[in-house]
Amino acid sequence: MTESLPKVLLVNGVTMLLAYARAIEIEAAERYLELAEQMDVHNSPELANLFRKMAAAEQMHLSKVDNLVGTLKLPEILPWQYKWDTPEALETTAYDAIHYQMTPRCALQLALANEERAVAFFNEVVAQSSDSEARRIASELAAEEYLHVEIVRSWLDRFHESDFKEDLDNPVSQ
Amino acid sequence: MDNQPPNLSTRSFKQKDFKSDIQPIWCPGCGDFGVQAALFRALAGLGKSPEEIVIVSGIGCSSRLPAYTTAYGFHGIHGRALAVGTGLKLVRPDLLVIVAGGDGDGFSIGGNHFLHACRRNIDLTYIVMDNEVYGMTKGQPSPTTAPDWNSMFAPGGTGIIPFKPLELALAAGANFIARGFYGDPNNLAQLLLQAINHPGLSFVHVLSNCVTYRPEQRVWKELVHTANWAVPTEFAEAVRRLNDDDGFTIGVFFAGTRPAYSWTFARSADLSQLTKIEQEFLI
Repeated sequence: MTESLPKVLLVNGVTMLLAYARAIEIEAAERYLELAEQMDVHNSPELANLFRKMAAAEQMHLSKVDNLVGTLKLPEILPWQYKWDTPEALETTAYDAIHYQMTPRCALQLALANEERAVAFFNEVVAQSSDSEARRIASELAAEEYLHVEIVRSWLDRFHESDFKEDLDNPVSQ
Repeated sequence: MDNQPPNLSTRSFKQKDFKSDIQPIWCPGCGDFGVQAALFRALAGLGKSPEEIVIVSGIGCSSRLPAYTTAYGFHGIHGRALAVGTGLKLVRPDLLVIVAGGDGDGFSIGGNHFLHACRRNIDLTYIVMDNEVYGMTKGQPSPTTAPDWNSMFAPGGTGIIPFKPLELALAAGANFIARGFYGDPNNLAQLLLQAINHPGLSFVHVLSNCVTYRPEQRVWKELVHTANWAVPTEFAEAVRRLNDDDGFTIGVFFAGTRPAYSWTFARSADLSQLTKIEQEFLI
């Protein structure tokens, strides 16, 4: 996953690290919720529930980041000013990765990739930051993200179907 | 009691402040989600409140956008979004007017309005979400569909060369011309901000995939590349850039200096003459 890591040297100090961490969690939670709503509209309740669970997990993680922020003043950064190597924040599921025929297994694979990118990012900060407090916090966040990785992997073990389901009412054939 | 209206532009906004409670019915995977996200990010970055913005559209999948925002919206008739947007901007120049739609709405049904909106250079931002197909009506070829695209509605392809929207806009007089990509909402948000802030007609052509009828467009993300030039401000330079364009260059192709159309000309006219003419039509 290292080829898609952001420029972590830009994330050296504590406030910048926490600003990036907040952006990661906020965008991920909002996107999962949006994907859940898409699946509601397209009558895929199983996927909608799954995306809502992911959104809730990211929201919990955001609360933990906010606790770390406390009274610190974080830099104000516009979405396009972050230096991601992915088009959006690195835990955000791309819109075009989604399909109405996708199965929960496919959705979980996307979620797993998101979580793994987050682990790698925080581990890179641990490895490269010159700020000992930033390294400590990044290590804590990497451990949190790794817990998510383990949870998603355990969920994946429950699904053995293919990534896409057949559409018995294919719009292209009508 | 303070009767002064609030200074709306001093409030700060987030992307989600521009999202309404109505859920888009676009197919999951549709490029229009990326365009919507980019637009709402740009509007949040702009600092204007939803009450200061109007999104006008025509008909088609992408033209459903006004329903999905907390800004004012006008879901108009097919191909006439630019006409509505023009009228609105002229009577309410204080509002930010954004016109949005698809390639069929903008280049076929509304083709003539597109040309003349560029020529008039009203201060509008026109976003076309181009998926090279009529998605809402189940996949007919549009004015930007490649001639050899084989489909149920055009077996073997249409054999007709597609429009080149950026060239058309430049030739017709648009003052700002750019291309964006749905798969990079942050980059697209920056392009949209530039377009909104540029005076006159700003045209942003967005490659926005149709996941259902054009699934092969997923390859676009491998083909797009960023423009590696300083923004052309001269017509001839823009022509050269467009000549070399492979259809997948993302960036600004032209940022002209022509002033936006204003009421100056109309105001200088003898309005009593207009009143006289109107009276002649009274029954």
